This record gives sequence, structure tokens and C-alpha cells, in this order.
Amino acid sequence: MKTNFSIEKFLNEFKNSKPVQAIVPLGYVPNLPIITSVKGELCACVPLMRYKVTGVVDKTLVYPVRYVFTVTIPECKVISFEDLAFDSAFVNVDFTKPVGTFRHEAVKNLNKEEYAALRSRLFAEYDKMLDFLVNNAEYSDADKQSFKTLLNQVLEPSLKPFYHAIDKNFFLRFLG
Amino acid sequence: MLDYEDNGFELENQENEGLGMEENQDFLNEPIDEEDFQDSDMSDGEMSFVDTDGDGYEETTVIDYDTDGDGYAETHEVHVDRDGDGIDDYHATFQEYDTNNSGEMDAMIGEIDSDGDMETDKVVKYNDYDQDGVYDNVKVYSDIDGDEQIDVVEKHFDSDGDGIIDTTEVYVDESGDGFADYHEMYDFDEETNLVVLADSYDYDFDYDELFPVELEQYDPSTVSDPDMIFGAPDESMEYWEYQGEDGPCALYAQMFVIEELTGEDIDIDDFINEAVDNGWYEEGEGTAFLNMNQMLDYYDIDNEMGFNKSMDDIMECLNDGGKVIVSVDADQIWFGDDSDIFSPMSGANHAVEVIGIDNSDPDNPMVILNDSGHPNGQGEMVPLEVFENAWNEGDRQMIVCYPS
Repeated sequence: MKTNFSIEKFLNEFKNSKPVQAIVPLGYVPNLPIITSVKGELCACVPLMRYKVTGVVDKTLVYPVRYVFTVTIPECKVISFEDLAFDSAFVNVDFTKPVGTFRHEAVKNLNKEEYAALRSRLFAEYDKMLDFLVNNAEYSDADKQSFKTLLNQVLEPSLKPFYHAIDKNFFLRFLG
Repeated sequence: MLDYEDNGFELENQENEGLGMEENQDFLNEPIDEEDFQDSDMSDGEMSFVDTDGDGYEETTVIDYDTDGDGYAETHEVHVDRDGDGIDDYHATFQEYDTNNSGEMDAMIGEIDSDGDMETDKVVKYNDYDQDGVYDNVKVYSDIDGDEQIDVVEKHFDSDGDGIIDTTEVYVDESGDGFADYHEMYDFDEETNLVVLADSYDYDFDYDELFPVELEQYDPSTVSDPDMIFGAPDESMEYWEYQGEDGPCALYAQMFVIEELTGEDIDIDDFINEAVDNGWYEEGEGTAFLNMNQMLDYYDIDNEMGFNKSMDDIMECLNDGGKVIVSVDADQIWFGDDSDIFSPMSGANHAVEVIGIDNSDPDNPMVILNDSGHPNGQGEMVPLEVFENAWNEGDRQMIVCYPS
């Protein structure tokens, strides 16, 4: 089961995959995945949401997470899809209105290239964790802390309540 | 939806070498100790050294002072020197207060230099209103840009009175006028497991001011070599309409094509309603990739959708008298390459009609679009390289359309 799984490559391919193209409106992109398990299968929950670039610095609009695909890792088989507009936990959410803006404070000093580099570092930490979970590769407390630190820096604060609702355990472990 | 109670990792058929799988599961399932997030005890007059990150090096020094000599240390200094160079990377002073003279400390103010530049950039206020020993309100005031003005205020509070801080509101004053420009909108309610509205969301945003740059538009009167224009952009431009705020771009693109190919004058409201009724378009949201030709089919337009297409495919269709719809990342077309204006993840977010290609200047080939999403989108001229990059984001999707 040895694999060199790349979460970044997976997300780039997933955004134009047939399940997404068939169901999800133009403009939705995958955000940072939630690593979890479903019935013993290692999975990634992929939240999809929209950004709207306004042409004003630091005022790219961040919209709520609307869709969640759950895929097995490393096989990338879609095992579930949910439209959160029909989930009772999100009954108060107006999905057509922005919830915040990007760049948020933790990344405000980063330009496009620097932000992309930071995001790649986070994805490398994802891969390290997945290598640990799939292949029993070495994984230290420092690795866990590094993942947590980067995740909290990269994820837009306005989306944290959505991550909390989607997977409470992941939220408390890495975002709380 | 995922079962929150069953999200531990259980991997089977793995070799247990080094850190075994059970230990791996423990890593993800170990209980979360809330005390980790609370303040540690501070003894009177005591200097203590703490290894907060578990790397074996005690990088944090805490010094507690009893400044008023009452036997209680109410002032605390925290010094963090992560690299051991003798210079603080972080420094903070916390002062406890008895605000109501009850004899019990019920508030604390911390002044923090979080980046080691010897300047306070954060002030934290803690309040224990009910004097139960647990802070039930924490406010963090931050000067992000170092201009000695507060830019961000974070309020962490116990919204339901159960003694647990459960809500965070973030207020951001980017304009520096002293008033919050916006604050984050939703919170998660532990009690009900609902995502709830934290407060009214007041975002000062005028859609009409979205486009700071006017894009170049195709003008047949300025073309030096008409033979190097592919398609019939001047004719197609007559069918362009501005869609206004986001949503129905794929419907507008299809409507342009249908009107061109059939001569029919379509009412856009009826057109949108038809798409909504059939589930091909959701108001305020948009159209899925694979539904981008549904209205063409509905109007019996001969069409074919494909992916990973090339510029040659577009030219061939235009030369054959056909019409072309593509999906693109509009941000790359509208907002150019400003390295301070971007979104975290790019992707196709817009549908346009390609109405021509202008090769009259071989060094600067241009793609001509009917773009319903931009006020200057009628005959919008886009450099070929920019168009191709924007088109790549949608896997070079193309719908070719011909009269039935």
C-alpha cells in the first residue's frame, strides 16, 4: 500500500473531476481537506466553496462551505457527497453571502507567490500525516504541531465554524 | 454526512513496525486536554522555566512579581527565546486587577510584543465577571501593520453562560478610521451543533465598483488586416448583454449563441426561469460544467461539449461559422497579475463566448470574447496567453455550436 500520495495534486485534479463537474456550479473550488475515517477507511472530506476576487487588495470575498465530497485515500474513490444547504446544522447560513475576506490577518503580509509556497508547505505536512497513517511512516509531535500551526495560519478564520460543524474531532484536534 | 462519533482512524492489514497502527490511532484519538489552553499557576516571586513546545529546551521564562507587597504576585512577565540567542522572540507583561475591590482578582491585562521588536503589538484583556476563577470574556486588540493603531479586535466570550468560552467575533478595521469594516459572520454552537449567525454582517461593498480596470474592446474600424480576424466578432457583439452580479454567465453565453444562430429574440428572465425549473441553474449560485449546454439542447442547437481542447479547435469552429462557449478563470482576465490580489485556490468560475481571434498583430494575438460578466465585456480583447491560462483552469472545456 506504499504510495507517494500528494494532497495538492489530488485537489488540483479533483476540482475538474467528473463528479464535481456534474454537480457543482462553476466557481466552486476545494478548500483544505479534513482527514478522517469512515467505517475504518482513511478518507478526506473535501469542502467546496467560492471566492470572489473584487480587485481590491485583501478584499477577496470568502463564501461559506457549500458542498462536501468524501473520498477514500489513497484510492480517491468518492463515497459521499453532501450539499450543506440541505443539512440542518447549516439552516441559518445564507450561502449566497460572503462570510469574510481574504487575505486574512495571518497571511496578510504574503504576496501570491509567498502564499502559494506557504500552502504547499501545509500540503507537504498533510502528505506527511497521510504517509504516517497509510504507511506507518515516522511522525513526531513536532510534525503534528507543524501541521496544526500551518493549518491555522492558512485556513480563513471565517470558515472555522464550518469545519467545526463538518468534523468536530478534526476541528478540536487541529483547529481548536 | 460523517459520523462524528466514529472518526478515529482504523487501518487494517498494516505492519506494526516502529510506531504501530494502534499508536497511530492514539495520535489522532488522544483526548484533548482543555487545561492545556488555560493559564498555568504562577507562584509568588518565582522565576520558572517552561518547555512549551516539547522540544526539550525550556524556551519560556515566567517571572511573577508581587509589586504591592500584599503577598500575592499579580504581575507576570513572560519571555520566550526560541533560538537561545539571549534575545526575546516574544515578550509579554500580564497584570491582574481586582476591579470591584472584592478581594479577588477578576481581570487581567496583557501587553504583548509578539514579534520581538520591543514594541507592544497586542493587548489582551481578560474578565472574570462572576469571579468563579475562570475568565468568561477575552478581548485581543492587535496592531497588525505596526502603525500603533488597533487594526483587529477579537472577542472571545461565553455566549450561553455555561462557563465555557464558545464564541469568537473578529472585528477588522482595515481603513484605519477607528470603525470595524467587517467582522466574521458565523460561529459554531456546541450546544445545538448548529452553525449560527454571530451577528449581522455589514460589509461595505459596492459591486459596481468591482472593476478598477477597463478592458480593451474590439473595434473593427481599427483593424489593420481584416483577413487576420477569425470569426465574425463585429456581428456577434450585437448580441452581448451585461448580466450584472454573479450567477447566470453560462445562461447568457448560451443565449448569445442561440440568438445568433436562430435570430430569435430571447427574454432573459424566461430563459433563466426555464433553466431553474429544469435544475440546470441555481439562482445566486450558477451552473455546473456539464449543464452548460442544457439550454442549447432545449433550443435544439446542434452542439458538442469537450475538454482538453486547443486554440486550433476554437479557430476551426469559428472558421466553419460555428459558435464557441468556454469556461475560464475570470479573475485572470479581469484583474490581471497583481501579486497582492488573488484567491487561495484558482478554478474556472465563468462562462464566456469566444467570438473571434485577432491575429493582425502576430506578436500580440488577441482572443475576442462576449463576456456577460464585465461591463466592458462586449468584444472584450484578451491577450492569447492570458486567455489560455484562464482557459486551462477549466480543463479547456469547449462547447461548439452550429445551426441545427
